[in-house]
Amino acid sequence: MKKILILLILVYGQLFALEKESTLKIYNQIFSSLVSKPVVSVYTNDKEYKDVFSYSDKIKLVDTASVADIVLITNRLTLFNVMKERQWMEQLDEKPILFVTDYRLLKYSLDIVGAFYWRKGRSQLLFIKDRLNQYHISLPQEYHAFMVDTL
Amino acid sequence: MLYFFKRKRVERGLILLCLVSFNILYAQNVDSMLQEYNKKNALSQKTIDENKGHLILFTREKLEKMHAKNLKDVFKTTPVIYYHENRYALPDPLTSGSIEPYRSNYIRLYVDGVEITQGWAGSGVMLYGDMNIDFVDHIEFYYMIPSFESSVEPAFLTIFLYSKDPKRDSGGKIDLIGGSRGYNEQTFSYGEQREDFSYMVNLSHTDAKREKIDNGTPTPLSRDFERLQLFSYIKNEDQIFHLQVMKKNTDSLAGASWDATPLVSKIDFLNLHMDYGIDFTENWHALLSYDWLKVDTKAEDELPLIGFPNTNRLYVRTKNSTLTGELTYKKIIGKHHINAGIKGRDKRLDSLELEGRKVASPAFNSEKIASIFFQDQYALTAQQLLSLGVSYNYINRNGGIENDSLLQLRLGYIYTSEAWSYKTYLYRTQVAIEPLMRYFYPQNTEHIKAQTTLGLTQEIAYKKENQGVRLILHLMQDEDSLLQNTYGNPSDTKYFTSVLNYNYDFDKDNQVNLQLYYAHYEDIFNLDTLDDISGYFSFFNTYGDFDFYNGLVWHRNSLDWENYFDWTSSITWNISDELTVTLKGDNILNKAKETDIYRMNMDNGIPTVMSPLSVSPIDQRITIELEYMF
Repeated sequence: MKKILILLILVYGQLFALEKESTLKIYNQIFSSLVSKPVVSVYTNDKEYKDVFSYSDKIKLVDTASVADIVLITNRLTLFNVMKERQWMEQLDEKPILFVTDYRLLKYSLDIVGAFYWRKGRSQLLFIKDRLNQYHISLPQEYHAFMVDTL
Repeated sequence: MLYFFKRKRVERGLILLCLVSFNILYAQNVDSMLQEYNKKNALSQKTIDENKGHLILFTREKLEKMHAKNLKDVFKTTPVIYYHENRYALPDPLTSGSIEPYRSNYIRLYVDGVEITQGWAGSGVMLYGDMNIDFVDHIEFYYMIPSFESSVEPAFLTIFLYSKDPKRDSGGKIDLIGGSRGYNEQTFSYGEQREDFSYMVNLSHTDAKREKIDNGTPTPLSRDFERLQLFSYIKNEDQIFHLQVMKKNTDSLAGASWDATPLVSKIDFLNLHMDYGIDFTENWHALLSYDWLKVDTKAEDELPLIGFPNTNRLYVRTKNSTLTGELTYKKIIGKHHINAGIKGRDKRLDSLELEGRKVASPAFNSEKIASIFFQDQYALTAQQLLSLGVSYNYINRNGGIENDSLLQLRLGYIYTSEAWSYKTYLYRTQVAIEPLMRYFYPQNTEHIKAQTTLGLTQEIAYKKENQGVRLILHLMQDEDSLLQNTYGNPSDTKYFTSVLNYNYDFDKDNQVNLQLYYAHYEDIFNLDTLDDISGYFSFFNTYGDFDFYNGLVWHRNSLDWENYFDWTSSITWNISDELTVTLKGDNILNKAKETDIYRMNMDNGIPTVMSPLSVSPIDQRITIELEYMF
């Protein structure tokens, strides 16, 4: 019955904007390259990403940005709120890592280490080397093609 | 809390130590993961309804790589029904080149699932068939037998354009294009995703200086146009409101001149479209849309005009409006996916002005359409689906014009597996003649019966990692063919069409696509048989910061077996994430498909057939484009 339901949904068109399997796969990779923990704590207020991450055993969703290893930001307003929250934290490497889904957001804060975003119908992965260095993060060789020195 | 942050610092230090072991985890190359992500997350995948019909898809990535700026750039590459313009220089893919006002009313155009209609004047294709598509994310062409949930009036081809989503395309963009003969186009767009809603505004201006057509007089025919187009929407999770405005002033080529030597030939359009859609619940959806169109036609000739035997000057303004409402329901119950709904449409000719003076509207000035449909998709097994659709339309006309009852039936079977898919449809569809044709041919259309079409289609497809192949076969026969009726020819047209697609991805940066199409028609126009063949070959390549596109459209038919080639090529330099420059050539060989526009010499009052004018709707043009995103 479950298979039949899946067929009806697939044939009719998918109900979700993000394809779960490939989205989880890529974010599992990105997050585990940024934080060396078996389970990474992630904060996001985006409903679609929350839904996708809820199926992961490598990502644990948390309710507040301050206790997260990584904060995934999908819009400007959330970025400003998170930045305001982070101000009281004393040292940069004690603050959660900021990662965004919009290229333009990279310009708003030097604390954002990278972005996974869409450009002209293709996904783009980008890390900024000097920002990663601030956090003492070294990414595996595999990611070097996706790194730029500065924005 | 202090302990927590210190622990974080220690953990980050460990990253360096763990790098070697981490590398083992990256068994799947990041590139291939991104490629998989691109494919599975293309927005187009979310809107494709396999049961809607046979699909030709233009994804966002493909549209970007093709540098398709107008719907024409895409429509010229499609099989079976492809882009043409009529003697008024209006998009009319089904034109025969003869004197009929408009033939493509059975092609319907949708933006974000809502039909754009010109109501009294006919299909939205007439005005939007070469629209600016900068706001578009992807385009779906469904052939022959579209399912009933989206259509109010029957159609053989439905074109669905889906707009960009600010979640992926937030921010602004300025696009400037300059080209041959002074052609220029400017587009501005801005979209934003807020916490509870998103919006998008797209404004474009096109000043299309086009190739002139020699008609044997010192004044060649012109089809230049100037267009201002606005597309906008605001939406949240369950509601959406669209506002679209288009103003298009066009030189209308041969227009209503029998021998294609008009003294004046111009048509100016002003169109407004608004719609509001709401999901009441997961199952119930309602939609209300309004279309308004003002058309100013100016035609002057030394001799009487086509359709107006007593005048050689016609300055006419018409205003018409269309109101459409629908309520639909969908639910999965056990193995059934039920889809049902009721729809209503009210088309009105609001006013008519001749030489700037209001005149009484003709007695026939209103058409009301009521439609009800039911569709069930029944899952036979986890891989097989049976679908049954029934739709009934009732068209009520005033002014003593006969009403029509139309019944559409559709039976389908779909099989899908990871690599193979197969679908077949058996259908019966009925279409009625449009109001515009009734004005032009009042005697022939007074008691005209609705056309009934019977058809059978099959599609088989196979895909494997980086390649895919597909074959579509289609058989169709008209009864009481509308076109033949208006010309007084009793024959009914028979159609056989076949489409073969093959695509191969060398890697994420290099792809090749091939499309071949063959059609055989019997009793079409005034011909016993017609064979039509076309091909579309396209290559997409990326090297570093440069993207290359080469597309070749090939046409040939049994009228003269002449080969036509339309080669489009572009090179794009991605200077940065924000700035790109593109050089593009359209119809580089200047051998694109031509349409014959028929001419009659009426000098002595006795019509004599003249040699037709061969006109290509595709201009030879070089453009340079600057795109800046912010």
